[in-house]
Amino acid sequence: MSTLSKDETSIVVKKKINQTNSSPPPIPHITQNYIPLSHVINNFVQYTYSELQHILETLPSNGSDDNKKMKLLEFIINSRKEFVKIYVLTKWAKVTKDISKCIDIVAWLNGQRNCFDNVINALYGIERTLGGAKLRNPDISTALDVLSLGHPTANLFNFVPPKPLTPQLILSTLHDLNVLLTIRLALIPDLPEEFQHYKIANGRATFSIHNAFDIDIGIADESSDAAFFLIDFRFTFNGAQAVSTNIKAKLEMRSNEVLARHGLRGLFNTLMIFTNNYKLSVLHKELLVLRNGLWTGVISVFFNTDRSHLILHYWIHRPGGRNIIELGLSKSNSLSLRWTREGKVVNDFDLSAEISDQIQDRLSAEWLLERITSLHLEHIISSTNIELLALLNLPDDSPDTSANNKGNRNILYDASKITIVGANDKKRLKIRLTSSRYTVFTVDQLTGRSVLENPNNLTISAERSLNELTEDHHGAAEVIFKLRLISLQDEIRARACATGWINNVSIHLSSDDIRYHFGQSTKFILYLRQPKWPLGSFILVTLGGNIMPRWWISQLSPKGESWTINFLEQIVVRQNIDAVYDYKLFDKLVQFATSRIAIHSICLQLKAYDIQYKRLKDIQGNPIVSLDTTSIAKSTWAHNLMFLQLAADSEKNTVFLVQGKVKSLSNLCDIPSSDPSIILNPKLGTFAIKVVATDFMSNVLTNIDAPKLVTRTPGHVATMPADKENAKLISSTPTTEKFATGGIIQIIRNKLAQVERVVSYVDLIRASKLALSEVSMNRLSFNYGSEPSLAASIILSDINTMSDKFLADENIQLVLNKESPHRFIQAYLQSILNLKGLKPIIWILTTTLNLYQAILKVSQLHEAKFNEADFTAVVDGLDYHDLELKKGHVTIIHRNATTLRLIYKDICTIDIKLVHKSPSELVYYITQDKLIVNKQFQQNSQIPILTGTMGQFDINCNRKLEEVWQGIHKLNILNPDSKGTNDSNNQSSLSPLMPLDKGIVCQPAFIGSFVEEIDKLITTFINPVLNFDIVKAE
Amino acid sequence: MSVNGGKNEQAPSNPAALAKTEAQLKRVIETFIELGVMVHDFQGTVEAKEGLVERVNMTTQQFRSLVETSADLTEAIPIDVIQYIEDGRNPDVYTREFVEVLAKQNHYLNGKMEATRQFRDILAEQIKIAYPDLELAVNNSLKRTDDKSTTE
Repeated sequence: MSTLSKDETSIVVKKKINQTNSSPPPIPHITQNYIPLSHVINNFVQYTYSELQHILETLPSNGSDDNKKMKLLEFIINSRKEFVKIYVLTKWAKVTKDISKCIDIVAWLNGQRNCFDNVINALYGIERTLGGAKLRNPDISTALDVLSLGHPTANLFNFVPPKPLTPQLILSTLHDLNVLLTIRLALIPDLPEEFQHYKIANGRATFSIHNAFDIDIGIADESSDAAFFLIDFRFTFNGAQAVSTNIKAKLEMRSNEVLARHGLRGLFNTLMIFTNNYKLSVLHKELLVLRNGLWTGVISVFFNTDRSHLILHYWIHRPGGRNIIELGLSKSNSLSLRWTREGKVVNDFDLSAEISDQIQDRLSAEWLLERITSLHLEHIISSTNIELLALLNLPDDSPDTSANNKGNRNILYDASKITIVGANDKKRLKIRLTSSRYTVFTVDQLTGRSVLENPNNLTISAERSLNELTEDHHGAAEVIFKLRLISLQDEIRARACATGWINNVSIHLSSDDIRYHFGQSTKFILYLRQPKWPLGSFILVTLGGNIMPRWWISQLSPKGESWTINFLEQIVVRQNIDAVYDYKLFDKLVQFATSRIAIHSICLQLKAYDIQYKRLKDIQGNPIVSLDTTSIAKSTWAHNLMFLQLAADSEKNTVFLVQGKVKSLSNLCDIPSSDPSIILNPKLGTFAIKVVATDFMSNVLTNIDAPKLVTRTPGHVATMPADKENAKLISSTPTTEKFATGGIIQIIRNKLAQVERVVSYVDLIRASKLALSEVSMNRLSFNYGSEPSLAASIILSDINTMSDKFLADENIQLVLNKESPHRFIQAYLQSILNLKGLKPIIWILTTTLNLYQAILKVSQLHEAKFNEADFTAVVDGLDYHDLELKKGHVTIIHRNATTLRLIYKDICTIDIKLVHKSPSELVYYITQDKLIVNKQFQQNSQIPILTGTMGQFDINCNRKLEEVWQGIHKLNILNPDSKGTNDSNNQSSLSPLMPLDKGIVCQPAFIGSFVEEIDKLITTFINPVLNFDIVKAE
Repeated sequence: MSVNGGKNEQAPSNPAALAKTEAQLKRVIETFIELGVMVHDFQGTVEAKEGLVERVNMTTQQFRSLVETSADLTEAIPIDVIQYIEDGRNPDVYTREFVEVLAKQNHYLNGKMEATRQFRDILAEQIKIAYPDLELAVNNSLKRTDDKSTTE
């Protein structure tokens, strides 16, 4: 800017100043918020006037005078008060000019104050912007040199270059420094232990810390308290990288500060912290690489640089406590490791030294991770092994105290079944599950997941539960232990199902029952049954604890939702873990258990029938039931004790065998055993009843629970004979019931009854002194006379139906010889046989033999006479009824076995009846029914064809008969001795006939002869009739 | 607070009109007192009625004259003062407070002016030392901003 222009501007400014000086600017006047006084007064007066007007107009309507007065006075007072205010305002208005001025000044001063504030703000702004003024002017000439030539051409700003150092000077200086350093270091009293060994050379002291760093320390001057300074720093552990220049510079600065303040000890600590932090960061980097590589998703890494704390969480998906490796600095600033295994700090692992050495030396994160997981894995395996062994040694609390089950062979597993396998490390646990299966328990070192090798459904589910254990590996032993039981159970089930057993899964015993009967340790129960078995019968296989599976025969019944045990008997199955549960075992078991169940059900039936019995065992331990024969069936031939057992016959069928002894051999020795189910051994005097079980089994067994039950004695409670040794009868089945039909007991009872019947019949026949011609269980034949026609047979059918009157011979058929004189009354005899048995039959047959032989003879005689006549010639003139009558002229009507009627057509009717003369004496009582004769006579007299001659011979005949009855007409009765049928001594002294008022009595021995004589007598009167009829026809 | 264009256009005061208005107001107030007494003692007689009517008429008469008189008034009253009186407070208190605010502001600004002046002198001296080239310009500025020099 030129000087001329400055002058010009100053002149202009002066002019302006002069102009302003002449009249200073007026202070601006404020007009806002002012109201003219006249305006106020005017408005107020108008308001008051209008109010007054309003009051005056409305006053008349305001009621009383007092009200009017009050209203008006109120207005007046208020108005006056307001006017006083207006008056005050008017008085104040005198100063309004001055006050207005004051307001203007204050407003103006406020504006000035704002001006000052703005000035100050502007100065601050200038202060801030002046920073740019500090920039140096660009060295343009040098910049041009560098740009054009590549280097500045100007000399070094006239600096004088120093003289080059001579080698001698350098050497001597370094030597001096060495000496000084030696003295200084020797004089330091509290040199750190790690710095005790050092090397002094080339003017520097070199400290080497193993596996950490080397440092070079120099000294500045000769004074005794001259500060050390850091010359160089190098890491000396494996895997360390060279320290970058940048870091080295920072380190040097920091080290020199520490040296100045805390000396060499402080330096050592600082550098140790630095080195170890560096190691941690290297580890962290390696772990990050691992986390993104092989160990993805199974480790997590966190590095807290402020606290020098590296946290490695491995097996992060393994349930239970966290598994953490922590690396940090100890109080002595060395690296230390803390291992938290499953949430608990591991204090006692003896590898910490090894690990820390490795950390110091190799610094390999992968090695560390693998080593720790390996240790952890071994720990899991070993602790699981220990717990498994501890579980194996659990005391057995089962209530089973049978001596057979004690001893070592009952132990399910021993320690030899669990082995730690592995070439070099103990990372796998091999466990025998069953005789054929094993599994290997291990943990995946990468993920921490539990693994069970040799997978099937069971191991897979066990593996799942192993990996869901939230506690720690303590549960693992239990899971594996359980797995073994389940595997064993599964194997038993599979084998059993393959051999035709049914596994029932829907049965649940109450836990109290299980505890009570099988012990606390029982974990699993297998319910096996055969299809043929009754509903409640099962083989139970209980597994639990460390004992072999126990086998039980049981009878269960549903009770509400669960089942209860009615019967329980343990089976001793010879087994051990090495034994295979093969098909043979189960086949044997079928037979064995079936027989036990059958015996049990038979016992139930026995009980239901109130038959006394006792359960025993034979030498082999097979169950035998001893029975009281008398309580089963009436037995005259067998001893009271019988034994019932299951056995196999020659065809390998299972049979129920009932064995006993006969009382006397003579009873049965002659009876051939026609029934294969009943075996008699006359030599030994034993008998056996054999019922093939396979045929009856299902029927027999089913009847146990069959609904065909009838109440025998309501309220009666039978007591089961206690047989504590062999069986536990938990609760008796309903004892007031018996079985309506079927059942092995009934079969046995029937067989016994059958024998009893035969024996009793044989005894009877023999007692009657009759000749037995054929004896078998089904047929008895005997003769009751010397003639071959006097033979009778009794055909016995099997007794299969249950009845209390099973001895009533309903199934007995009487068969008489075709020529037998008794054949006409066979129907009567059959009914008597059915009703009263064989004894009355034999009595009738022998007692009435004379009578019926005579009757037969008479009948045959009449038929023969009839045939002799030329009957065919007269047939045309007679009807059938006449022909029948005329056929024999005598009609025999059997009223019953001992009463019969002889009707001589149109002549007479004679009744013969066997009656008791005295309790010990029998006689035949013979009467003639005259009424019928007379009646017939009268009727016949009306028939024109027969009148005359017919009445005549009828009367003659009756008269003759009357004489016979009265004993006037003596008949020629033969001495029965000549026939040799009866006892002659008694009969000879007796009169054969004894006339009575009505009829006549005849001794049984003479009845045959008597009947024949009577017939002969009557026939003599009949013959003319016959002749007459024939003549008439001619 | 608006400024009236920087011109001092305040109307000249009219003390006579003010005094007249004041007297008129006094009369009105007195009339109200009398009116009040009359109403209070009103007996209902014809005389009383006439007297009352006369007095009311007189009041309205006085109202008219008051309006006429006040029309000549030029004074304007700040609303704050009207509010003071309306609230029953003494308007002189307002006057006193305002004068005190004014004095305080005056003192403050005076101090500011003095401080700024000193700062200006120091700054000028330093600029002259740092930049001797600018001495003329600095002196010129000083001269122009010095109130003494401006008064000269």
